[in-house]
Amino acid sequence: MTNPMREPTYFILAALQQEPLHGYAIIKRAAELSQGRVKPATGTLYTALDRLTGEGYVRVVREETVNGRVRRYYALTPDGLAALRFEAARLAEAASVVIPHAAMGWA
Amino acid sequence: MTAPLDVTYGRLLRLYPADFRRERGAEMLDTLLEMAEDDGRSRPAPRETIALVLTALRMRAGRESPTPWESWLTAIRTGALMLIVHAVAYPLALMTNAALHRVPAFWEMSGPPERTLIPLALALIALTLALLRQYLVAAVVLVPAGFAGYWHLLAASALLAVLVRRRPLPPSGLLRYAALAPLLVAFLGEAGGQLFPQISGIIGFGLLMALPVAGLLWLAVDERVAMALGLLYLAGLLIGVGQVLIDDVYSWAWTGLSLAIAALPPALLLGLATETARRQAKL
Repeated sequence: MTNPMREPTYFILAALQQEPLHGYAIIKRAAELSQGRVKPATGTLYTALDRLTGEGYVRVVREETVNGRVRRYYALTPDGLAALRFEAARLAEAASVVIPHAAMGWA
Repeated sequence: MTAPLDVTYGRLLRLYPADFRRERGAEMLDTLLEMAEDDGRSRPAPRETIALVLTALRMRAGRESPTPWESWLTAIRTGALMLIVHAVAYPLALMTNAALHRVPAFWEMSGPPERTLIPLALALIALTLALLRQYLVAAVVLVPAGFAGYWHLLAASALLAVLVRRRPLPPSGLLRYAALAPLLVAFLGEAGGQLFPQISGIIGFGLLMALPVAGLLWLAVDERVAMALGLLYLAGLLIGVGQVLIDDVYSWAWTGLSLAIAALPPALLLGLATETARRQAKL
């Protein structure tokens, strides 16, 4: 994984770090983690989940039926976790160029 | 009376392709209803509705997260088809008009018919070959028509030659019909000109400008249409520059201004589409 991720993808993967979640729970967790900046719309979320499943970063781990409707739970795969950590390291490296200067109060 | 929320969302989900709906429909409906319940809403949120419609259109457009290079190959194919259709569209519209109004056909007024009919026949043969993915033969077939003064066909030949080494798959979804856009513009322009002869020039110009605007709006769905239209307008611009270099120029200031205006649509279409393809290629 060398290409930078888009912010929604990053937070969707980050939402799945701790435990498998279903669609709406992913949206809520992504919004919490991004402090409200990323709140994927449902159409966008499922397009992203399809793509991430195709890339092997996410997989469905269980299904349940609630009020007659299917609810699928998604989990990170080892590849997905590696890609997420790679992106986090890339962002941290980029931040390290700026943060020490900001801490010293330089303009 | 407002329909229950699940009925409203169900209608929106009908915009999606049937196989996607079978696989994901119930799951998406569950997510949408859960979210609405949490927000205390009885109607779909506008942002949610727009996202649902756009995602459905993207699926219908046949866009499947290709790399920028794959997007370009498909767009070059569509652009070449558009150029051929463009060269054929105007004579076809005139022929139809001549048949409907029983006026002399355009080739009867513009010299020997073979000067028009042979390039048109070559264009139609090349169009068929290109649709069959025989890009090299199609490119060769177009060359004589191009040098007979049908410069759009020469541009189409150059684009088809690019596809010889790496042939793109024919696009699926709505993109298949994008190449017909010049045909639509020619027929609408001809019909509009017949109905309102005093403003036929304005109608023609309006339709010509409507295409890039539609391409820019469609960027939200599929950037390959904008790329193909950008190539079509770029060919038109290059032909215009060629004519300026050959012909006597009445006023350089006026010519420069005209060319600058003509350069705007391809610059915007190609620039924004390239950026969109780059952004879409990110995970």
